[in-house]
Amino acid sequence: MSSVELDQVTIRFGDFVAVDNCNLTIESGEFFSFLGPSGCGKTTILRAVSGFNDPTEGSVRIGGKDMRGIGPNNRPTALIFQNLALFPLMSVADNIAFGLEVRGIPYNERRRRAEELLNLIALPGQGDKMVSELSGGQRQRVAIARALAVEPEVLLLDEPLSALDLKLRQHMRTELRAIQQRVGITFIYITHDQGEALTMSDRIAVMSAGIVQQVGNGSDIYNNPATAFVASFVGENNAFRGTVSRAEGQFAVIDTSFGPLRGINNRDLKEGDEAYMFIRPEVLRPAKSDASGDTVFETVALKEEFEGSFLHVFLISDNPDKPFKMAIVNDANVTRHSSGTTVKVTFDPERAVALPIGELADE
Amino acid sequence: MNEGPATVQVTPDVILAQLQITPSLPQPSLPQPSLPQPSLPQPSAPSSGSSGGLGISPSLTSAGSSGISPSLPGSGTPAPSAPAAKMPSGTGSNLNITITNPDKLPSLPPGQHELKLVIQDAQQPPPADSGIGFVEIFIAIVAALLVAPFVQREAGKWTANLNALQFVQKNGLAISTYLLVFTIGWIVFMIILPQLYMFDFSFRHNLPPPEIGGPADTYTLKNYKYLIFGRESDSDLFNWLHLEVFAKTIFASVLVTLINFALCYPLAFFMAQMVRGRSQRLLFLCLLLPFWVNEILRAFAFKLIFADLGLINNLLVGLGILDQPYDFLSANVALYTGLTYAYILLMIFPLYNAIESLDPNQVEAARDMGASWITIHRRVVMPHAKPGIASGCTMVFMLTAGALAAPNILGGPSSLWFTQIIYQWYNTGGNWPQGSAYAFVLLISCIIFVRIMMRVFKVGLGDIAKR
Repeated sequence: MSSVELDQVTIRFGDFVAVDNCNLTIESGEFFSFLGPSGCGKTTILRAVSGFNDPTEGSVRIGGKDMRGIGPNNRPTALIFQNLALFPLMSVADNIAFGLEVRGIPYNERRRRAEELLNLIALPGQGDKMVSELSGGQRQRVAIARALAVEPEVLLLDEPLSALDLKLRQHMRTELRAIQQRVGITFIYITHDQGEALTMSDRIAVMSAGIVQQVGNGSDIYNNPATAFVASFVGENNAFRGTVSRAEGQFAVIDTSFGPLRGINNRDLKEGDEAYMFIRPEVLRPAKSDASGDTVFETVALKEEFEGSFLHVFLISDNPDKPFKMAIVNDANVTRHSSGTTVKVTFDPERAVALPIGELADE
Repeated sequence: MNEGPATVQVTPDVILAQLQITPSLPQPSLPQPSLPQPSLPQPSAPSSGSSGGLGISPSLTSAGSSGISPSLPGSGTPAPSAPAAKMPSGTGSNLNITITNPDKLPSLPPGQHELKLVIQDAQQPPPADSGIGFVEIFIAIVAALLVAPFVQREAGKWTANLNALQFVQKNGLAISTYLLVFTIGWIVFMIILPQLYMFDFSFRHNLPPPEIGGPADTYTLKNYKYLIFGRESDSDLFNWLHLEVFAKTIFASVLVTLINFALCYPLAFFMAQMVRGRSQRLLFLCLLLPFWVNEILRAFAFKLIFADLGLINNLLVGLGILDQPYDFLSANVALYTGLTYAYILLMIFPLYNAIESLDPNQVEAARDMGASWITIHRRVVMPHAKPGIASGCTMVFMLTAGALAAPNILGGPSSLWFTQIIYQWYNTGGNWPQGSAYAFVLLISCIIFVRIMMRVFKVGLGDIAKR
């Protein structure tokens, strides 16, 4: 069991900065996810930890030991590839035992260990099958077993679920988490799927353009985003742009084109700062017609989408491409909003977040 | 009926009889390889087929002549003195020969004479002037009219069936006909027939042209026996000289193949997995361009480089590494180098294709699991590239074993390649059957060897074709 420390890690490819000054410590036995859109540098970090490329600056330490110059074959890590990279010409057992084979462990011992791991991944007695005979989810589990066979201290997973269909993906999330808790080693998980990151991880690092935007557990990241990018990337969010008109205590009031709006000010916004007010769809709700103040605004309904447990109402926003979205719990007295009607909307200012202007995630 | 002193008329039904009693007619002319050697078997079909139809020119020769046409078995004595010779028929034949102008018969002394019949155009159809009458034409037209609807209907069905074939649907009737006719034509006329002919040849005696098709032209194993046992007059039991050359050729071909593989595998891996884009294209060009120079020229260039006063020796002597030039040519260094280089592309491309299709993640996964580079190649890359390796090695081995130019030019004075012996049999030896036998032994041995190797390395024939 080892912690992984990234100490001022910068990785450049020519002029391109893939990872910019990344500092974080992943605790031993933690399920840690890097979440970000493609090209944000998360895979580069993973490859730096596994040893396929060394950081340009800074250092990667595993268990307190600087890993510079140590190749992937000599690091206490195991990587699960996006396409799994199982060896198609070997049997399942040979695949799982490959890491043991290259360590010169005798056949019978290898075979025994493979059988143990097959039990762990709930594929007992399937060792003699070829990889091609397995289903997608089974292959997934074989890849995990193969990586676990070398008893790594850190298991690195590069979007291993992205090739699976939705049902299987959701099933494998639980399974992965269960396996991690059983073996108790550090998992570093790379994904662009926030659902995966939120459900499985102890902590998540949200990345954008080579920069770690925020590190925290799922609810932290969802409820208290640190940057505009995190707020817009994790979950759905409505962004109201404007200027801070008042900053008092933990709240800030931002003057937007929909009037003044009040929300939590964690980022020390000052009066006159350009800022966003982020309010999640489920925080918005219809207001009484006589309501007013800085937690109420008025706009026009565009359309409705009924989704069973929720009724989604789309409302005109500043950006015609990205209307506001209001999610109303579908209970007995839900009101319907026909297109074109004016709607008065309110929200809980404790759950609205004021953040400095910054890059937004493009959906 | 022109050169004979007397004209003999033979009616068509006689021809049948004639064919029955002369079992060894001149063979139908097989395709003959055109070589300048006079000893080549020439089909002795007469060329003066007169349009006058079944011209049988009888020539009366004295007994004991060893003509091709056999004498009629059991034929009695023709009476040459008699103006109208009535020939007694042979066994089971009814040959009637009527001499129409007896006055032109040469006067022969009485006694036994052999009647020699030379059939000129035995297989020619009946003469045109035998006359197709109006009735025949009329009947033919009526028959054609009667048959036409059926033919049309059947042809319609036939094309419909043909069109129903997926192959035809995909390519269209014209193109699929072209493809079929030309592939089948190619295979049959360019590959199967010539090889079969040579195969047949290898079981025959080396006869002078007039005897071909004669009684001496029988099947024999002596050409094959010669390769193994040599001349019976030789003191040794086996034909050590040729057997040794044969074994050396196979062994050296294996060696060249292995060297070739050892050289090409890293290069192919590098080109397939490590480089992309411009540098990859540049590498390919560097490999391909030298092969625009013709093979002979390349072989001579190697000879120049490896010669006593060649580049390498000059360099080595000049640098003081050697006191005197090393004879690379006698040591066959030049030969193996030349042979290796000659077929390098045939090794590199199958290897490249095979390795290129390997998912780079597999290499990384193996590395991540702690495998050394050797293990990665042994357990991941090579198993994946096995069909390509088999394909490349097969081609290089076959072509090296069958190479002629490089051994001729680059071989040392003492070394002999098996193909050179074959060439000698055909060329200077003028013994085509013997050459064919040798060539077939080489071909079959190579095929067997390759098949055994494929069995050992568990490669299917289909795997090779995939690459």
